[in-house]
Amino acid sequence: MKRRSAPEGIESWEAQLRKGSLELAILAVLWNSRLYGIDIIRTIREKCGLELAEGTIYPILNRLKADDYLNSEWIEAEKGHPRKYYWLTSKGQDRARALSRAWEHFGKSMDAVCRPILTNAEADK
Amino acid sequence: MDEIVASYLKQVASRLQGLPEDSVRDIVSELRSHIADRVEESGSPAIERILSELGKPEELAKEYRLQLVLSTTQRTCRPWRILHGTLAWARLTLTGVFVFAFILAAYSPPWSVSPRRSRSLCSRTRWVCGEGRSTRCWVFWAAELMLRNQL
Repeated sequence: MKRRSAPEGIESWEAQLRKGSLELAILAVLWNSRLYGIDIIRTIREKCGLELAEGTIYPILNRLKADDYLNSEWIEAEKGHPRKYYWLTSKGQDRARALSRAWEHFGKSMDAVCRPILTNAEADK
Repeated sequence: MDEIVASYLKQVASRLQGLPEDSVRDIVSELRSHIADRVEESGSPAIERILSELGKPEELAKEYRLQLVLSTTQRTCRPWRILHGTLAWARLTLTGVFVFAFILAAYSPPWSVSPRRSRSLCSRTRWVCGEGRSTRCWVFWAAELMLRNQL
């Protein structure tokens, strides 16, 4: 996600944005899926394009579970070690819906506000 | 390799002291499982890189604690909970120390915000308070806001 000649402060701003959207990303990838830690990290990287530090995901999973948005269970693999699988509770599904709606609304509003800037930037090229 | 992993997990666990033992055991097991998965992918020589990608033990433990403080505070707006959450925050960061000190200092000050403004702030935190408690309400609202925003 690094950009050449990105204006100063952009990377830290993007990092904050990514951090802020991580909860929604986790709930979204667990929608209709049961996944364990690394699976969640991989899916977020592939589908959302978020390059997240691996250590950031587990404390958030822990909190979402404490908040009753997620359930978890240790499952023995046929081969290898046991893994902790997560899935959404009904409260978590409600949360995912609410956050998705808020995200959609926010995204549309920001798109509308930013469109003139991008149009001008293209015209200046 | 096992020694490096064991030492890393021990450091995380020692920094999670105070949390329920079951929770700490679960956290450590999950991290061990994560490391084992990554070793399967990358091989044993990559262990130091794998651990560095997880983060320093103290930072990882701090993140767990911060998330749990946030969770506890979000579930209730009761003053003692916010005070307790801020105290936990104060034990982790300097900002937390300032916020906690601010709450203690401001809890019973001679000045007060206007009751009308105070009630509007309180309604946001679902805390119904009387006029005599306006300052406390404002202080705790500010503390709650800071606790929520610090992540």
